[in-house]
Amino acid sequence: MNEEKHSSEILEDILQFMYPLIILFGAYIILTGLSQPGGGFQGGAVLVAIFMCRYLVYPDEVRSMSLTKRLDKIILIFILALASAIMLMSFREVFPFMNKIYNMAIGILIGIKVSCGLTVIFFTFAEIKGGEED
Amino acid sequence: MMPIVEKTLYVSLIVFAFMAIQTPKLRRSVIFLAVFSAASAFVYILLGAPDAALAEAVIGSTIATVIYLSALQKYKVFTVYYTNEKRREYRQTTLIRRRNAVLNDIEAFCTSRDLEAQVVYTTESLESVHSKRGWDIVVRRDEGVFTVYGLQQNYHVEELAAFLGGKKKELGNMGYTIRFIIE
Repeated sequence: MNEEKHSSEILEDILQFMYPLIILFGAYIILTGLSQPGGGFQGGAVLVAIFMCRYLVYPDEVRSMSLTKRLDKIILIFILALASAIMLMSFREVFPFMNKIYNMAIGILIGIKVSCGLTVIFFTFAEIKGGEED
Repeated sequence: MMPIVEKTLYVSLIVFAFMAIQTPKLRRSVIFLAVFSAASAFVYILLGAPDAALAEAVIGSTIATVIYLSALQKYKVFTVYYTNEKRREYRQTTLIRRRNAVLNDIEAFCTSRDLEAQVVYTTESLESVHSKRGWDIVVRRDEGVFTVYGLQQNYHVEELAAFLGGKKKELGNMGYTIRFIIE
């Protein structure tokens, strides 16, 4: 039977405690991706868990995806611009110390881009009304 | 020599892949797929590819599973009300032990049409069940006679009538009679 969805207090409390841990873990994977397993893609995928948890606690909350979609596109432009600027202006040869900063910046941007993209995909799946009667 | 852990993981990969394909319920299949992904992530670690393992663990066994499950939630549920007014009540234990052949056939029909059968057992009268909303068919049992009520607008009902019509002889041998009433 279709019971009305309501958030459980236990779930709410535990997830409130989990949010910072998830953010910390995601950020750790993104930032250590240069020298260890991990990177922007994996870290971004971990960060999506925040939005999924939020959906579990408040399934009926009305969300607007327009901001996330816009952020997704803006970050994509940033990634392309940064990569092409570095390549075309041969920054790496001129400023070799910039290499690490550049890699980290690209990692962070990819992380945000992946988390935005996967969030949009998840909510598209979650919010589509199927053939249910009410 | 290949360590025992690696061997076990290889075998479990085959077993879970096979189970994910063979199980008739889609939800179970998704869970088996998630376990398969987790096992393959372990295999990647053992083979010296921790980066791929991390991606597999995050995407294969969590995000893909959650997306599949949320998509399945939108999936059409076929609600069957099963009423037997002669009984006083239904207990969970008897329901698990004894399922009658008619309900099993209805469930088999639902599985073949990719529907999730949801059976509600009740001892209420036919009228009170009728007044409820959200049912697809109502099965009323009176001794060996099963009467199935369905609605004209539900296109699965006619298919179900044809499906059960094919099994009439088989059910007749068990002493069951089926009548179909489409309103």
